[in-house]
Amino acid sequence: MTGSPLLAVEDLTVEFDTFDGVYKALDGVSFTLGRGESLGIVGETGCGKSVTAKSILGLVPSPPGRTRAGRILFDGDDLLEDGGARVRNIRGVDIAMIFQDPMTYLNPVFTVGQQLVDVIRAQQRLMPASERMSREGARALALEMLERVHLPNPERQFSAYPHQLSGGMRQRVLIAQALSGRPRILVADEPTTALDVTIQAQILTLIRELISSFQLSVILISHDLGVVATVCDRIVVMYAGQIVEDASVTEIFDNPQHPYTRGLLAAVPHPGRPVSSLSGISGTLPNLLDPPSGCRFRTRCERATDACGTRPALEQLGNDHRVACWHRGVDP
Amino acid sequence: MMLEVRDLKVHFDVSRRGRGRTVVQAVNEVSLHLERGEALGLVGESGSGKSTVGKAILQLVRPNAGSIRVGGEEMTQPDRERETRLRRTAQMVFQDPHSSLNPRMTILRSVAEPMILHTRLRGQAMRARVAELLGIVGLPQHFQFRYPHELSGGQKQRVCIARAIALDPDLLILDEPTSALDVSVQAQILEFLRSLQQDRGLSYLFISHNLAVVRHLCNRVAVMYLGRIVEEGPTEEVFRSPQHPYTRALLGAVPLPQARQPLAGDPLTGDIPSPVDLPPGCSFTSRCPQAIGGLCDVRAPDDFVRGPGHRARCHLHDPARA
Repeated sequence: MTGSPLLAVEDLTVEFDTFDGVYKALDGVSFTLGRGESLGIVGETGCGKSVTAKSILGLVPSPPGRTRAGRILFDGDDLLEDGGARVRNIRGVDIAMIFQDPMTYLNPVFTVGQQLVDVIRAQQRLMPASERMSREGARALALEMLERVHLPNPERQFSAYPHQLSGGMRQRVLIAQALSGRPRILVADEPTTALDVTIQAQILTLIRELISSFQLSVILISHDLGVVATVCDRIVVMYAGQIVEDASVTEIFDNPQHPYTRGLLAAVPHPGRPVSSLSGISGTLPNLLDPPSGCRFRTRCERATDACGTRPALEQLGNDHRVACWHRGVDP
Repeated sequence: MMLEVRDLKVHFDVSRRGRGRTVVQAVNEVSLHLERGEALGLVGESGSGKSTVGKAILQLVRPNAGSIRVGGEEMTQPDRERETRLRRTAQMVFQDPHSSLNPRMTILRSVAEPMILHTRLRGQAMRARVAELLGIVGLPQHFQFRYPHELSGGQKQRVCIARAIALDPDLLILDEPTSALDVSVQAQILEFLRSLQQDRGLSYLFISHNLAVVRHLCNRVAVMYLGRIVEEGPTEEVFRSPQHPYTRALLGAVPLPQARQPLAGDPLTGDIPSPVDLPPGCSFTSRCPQAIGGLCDVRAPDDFVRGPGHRARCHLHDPARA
């Protein structure tokens, strides 16, 4: 890993205008992604994981979305400058994304091959003229990509329609599409949530293989700590639009500091361990139209005190471990 | 015996004009039993037929063959009166709480619905019962006057559970009750289901694709693949020494919430085959890492006993073969 990170998100604040007021989806989110690193973002539904990912690619619809503050530095360049022109040139080429429900992102009336070739030709338009390829070249690359994601019978599936493929095969096609532009960063938003556990294992194995063969940096978003643990080096835990903890996988699982992280870990039923009492996190996510002042987790936190009325900063603990809590680590 | 299912067969006719006759073999020769106060987990991938088994027990789909006895009473012969009785003994909680509550009914009305249909309870007495039920599932009383859209997913699922236990059933069929929920909420619901079972001596048929959840809640587990039960046994037994290659693969595929845990073993290749035109032999042959050519793809295996209450449907365990 060289000096500057590949991607740095700094103080990102995103809001949505609604009829009921301003929804504060992200509030001062900062993290970095190193070269060749795979970063997991975890948290409950509505905590801002997907908005973070979409912001990086400039996919937050505006209006109603609004980036109030912050910078997104890709290789040193701020993607939020010049009204999104810059992000248009890197989207799908330098940074690519795959989504939860592959069927929604494939066009049902075109064959898999056609769409893949179209995507490749669109990616080519963003490349220098000398590197562009012919239609035949694009077709050959499409087939090669389908092979590299281990789609069975790529020749035959090339002319299949999305509905003829299974969920796992569709996700493979989407991955092929994302990687055909040779991106440096792959953003995967809950890529296996819609899949069965055996198919999920196949896709996770594939992502791990592609990380090394394409030298990818990955941002993997999931609500499943197990999924993140199999793929990622580092985990960012989000709660109600803020980062509450950011540490290596080992640190998060062996030495969690934030009460929310501990709560999440205690809520996951572990298949390898016999029956033990699970503990949920009582209460629900706060309404982000009117988030609690100070620490946003204090309304559900067992350790909350008066100090929590002031927002805790994300503090460095050493060995690359950051946590935002006034009562971190202290066992009750 | 709370529930006894024998050789259940459910096939769906999906023929379309001009395309010939097509039959989806959703459930084949499924037998299972559930004692009073027991929780049986039914696990498998989507398309394995586990939900169809649950629905067939409640007569929400008609079985083609086999016998279903709930509380000793045979249910497969259509009979309206018996079906009404069945609804009082056995109730179901579905996966998606958003689509199983009527958006135009208040919570009060939804929870009162079974009482209106099955009892003479009305007015004050009925309201008191709804209030009591909301108390049992841990929801505040003023929720009675709310509509489903005002509730979170976890709260809606609690309402569904309140409705399911309104008639004091003996058997609850829980079809993936926590799959649509966040882990933190899932933990709350699972803990609640567990204490509910202990307090009221309920029997659960718990349908899930999540092995960890099943291990947490059930004392016995049955693994389904393509419409058949391939392994069944006490939960701890099955998790400690899985006998069927499919069970082993399923257990190995669960990503563990631990630092840098590579997945155990090689993931299964390919997808679950189509339940239309099942191939001869064992239906797992196409994905089985231990398939024996000339045997597994020709003849379907029998059930072999692997321990007390533990059986597996696999040629590898045929004592005659060894």
